[in-house]
Amino acid sequence: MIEKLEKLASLRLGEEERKKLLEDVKEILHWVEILKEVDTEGVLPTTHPFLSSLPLREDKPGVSLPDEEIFKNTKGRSGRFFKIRRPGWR
Amino acid sequence: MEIVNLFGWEIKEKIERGEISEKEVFDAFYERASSSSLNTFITLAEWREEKKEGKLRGIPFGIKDNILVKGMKNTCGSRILHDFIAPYDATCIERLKKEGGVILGKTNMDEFAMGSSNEYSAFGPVKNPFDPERVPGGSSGGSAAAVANLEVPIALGSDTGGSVRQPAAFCGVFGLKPTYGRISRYGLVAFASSLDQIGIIARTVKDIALTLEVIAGYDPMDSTSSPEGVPPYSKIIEEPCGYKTLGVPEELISGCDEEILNAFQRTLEILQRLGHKIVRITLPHAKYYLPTYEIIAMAEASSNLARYDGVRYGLRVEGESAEEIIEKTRMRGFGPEVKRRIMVGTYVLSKGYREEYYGKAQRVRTIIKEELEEALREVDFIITPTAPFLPFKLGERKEDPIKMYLSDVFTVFANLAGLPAISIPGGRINGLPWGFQVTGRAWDEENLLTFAYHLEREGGWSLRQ
Repeated sequence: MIEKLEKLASLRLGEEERKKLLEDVKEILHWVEILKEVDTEGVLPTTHPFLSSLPLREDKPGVSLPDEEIFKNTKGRSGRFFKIRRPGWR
Repeated sequence: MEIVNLFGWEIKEKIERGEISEKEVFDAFYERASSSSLNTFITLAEWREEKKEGKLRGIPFGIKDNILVKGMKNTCGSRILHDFIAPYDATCIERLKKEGGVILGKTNMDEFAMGSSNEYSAFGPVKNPFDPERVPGGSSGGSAAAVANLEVPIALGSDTGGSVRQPAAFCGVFGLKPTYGRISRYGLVAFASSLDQIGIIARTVKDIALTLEVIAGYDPMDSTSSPEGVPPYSKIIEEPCGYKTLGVPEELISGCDEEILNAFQRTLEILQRLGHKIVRITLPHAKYYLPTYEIIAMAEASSNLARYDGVRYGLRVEGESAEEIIEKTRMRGFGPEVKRRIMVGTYVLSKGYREEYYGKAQRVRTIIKEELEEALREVDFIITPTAPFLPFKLGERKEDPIKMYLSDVFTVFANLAGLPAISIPGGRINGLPWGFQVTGRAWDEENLLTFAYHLEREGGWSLRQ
């Protein structure tokens, strides 16, 4: 299970870390099992507390930050692009 | 009286009367904060000469390190953002500055706001001002401890499941989480977007009211911010409060430590003596609040934290391929609690389990929300202790995630239902602070703050030192 989650979450773990985390994840998943008792037949999900009362804004482009501001925090850059190695490690 | 002992609104009035200057105020708090041994601030700001009139003129603010202040470091208490400089101001910061508020610094916090003790900060734990061997609560522990230790009169935090109210209780100060959508989240680094809300910590309700009326209100940059009108809270709270009916949810608070329960009982007696009515209420789904919250919070966190990949900003650990860079960056950049939550969150959103866990929790959330709204039709407020135990010792709960999550047992319901709630300092038990929480109806900060303001004045809970 944990290897699959590592892949999905793009998060590699060390051996010791993996062991401890697996135990914690199992414990947390066991602890939340209790929700299965609740009858939710026909109940709609809540995604946000008050979503229905919120207005949509006009679909117009706004002003964005200048490139130089955006790239200030970037480690790998090539002109107007973020630079990274090509994919294919796996 | 020394400057650091003044409330925020008193500082503003003294500056307006010419009794003290903005610079003197800044220097006094800067001196106190920079010599603090509590590890409250991650970054302190420098004094900038720009006098501005306004409702918050000259009042220094501590800002949790997940709320962007342009040009300052914003670490979120994480290695992965250790050198990230905010390229813009959060909307609440823009509004604070516009009214003359001054940024004193960025406060320490649990990594990405995940934690209840501040021990999960990559920059070391914050200590409780009342006992440095104990935690200040979390995740806005730096903000609460800084206010309690007179390092800053007012601080902003963020509250996803109690992260403003629980540290406020542990540090003996006031902490408000407003209604979901009341304050724009633009510029608040996301943890769990359907639960996150910016909150305010101070030593007096009036400072909270004043700050809220400045930073609340619709913002086109946050589509979940509400167009509800923002009343002048700092004036309204001084009007008569009337007698209120408060509901005590007995099944929720039954597991509380005895010393807290006894203090809470005495608080209820004081409220009755003041003329308020105390009634029992039933919340049949109380035992499901915390697990529902954890599933939703972890799922949303795993999705929100997918953006930290080393490509555009933050830490970058080099590797032979794009995937290796991303995986190594996240492995080195995130701490254990964040990894734990990302893993559980990924699991509950993964194919085959999504409906069983995340979908189920969202449906139970609907039931919980309706149950609380129903209760609040019968009573004006719901009252509970803020946390089920006193500030615990550093290291006591750090290795046991579920034991840590229990800190939030009384606070998560306000986030699940989007309701406003305030933690009020209840005094001391064996020298340690404890707090009680009053939860109101959605959008009714007005009544909630008025009630808290009158308790502060009449109930003997004033923090004037």
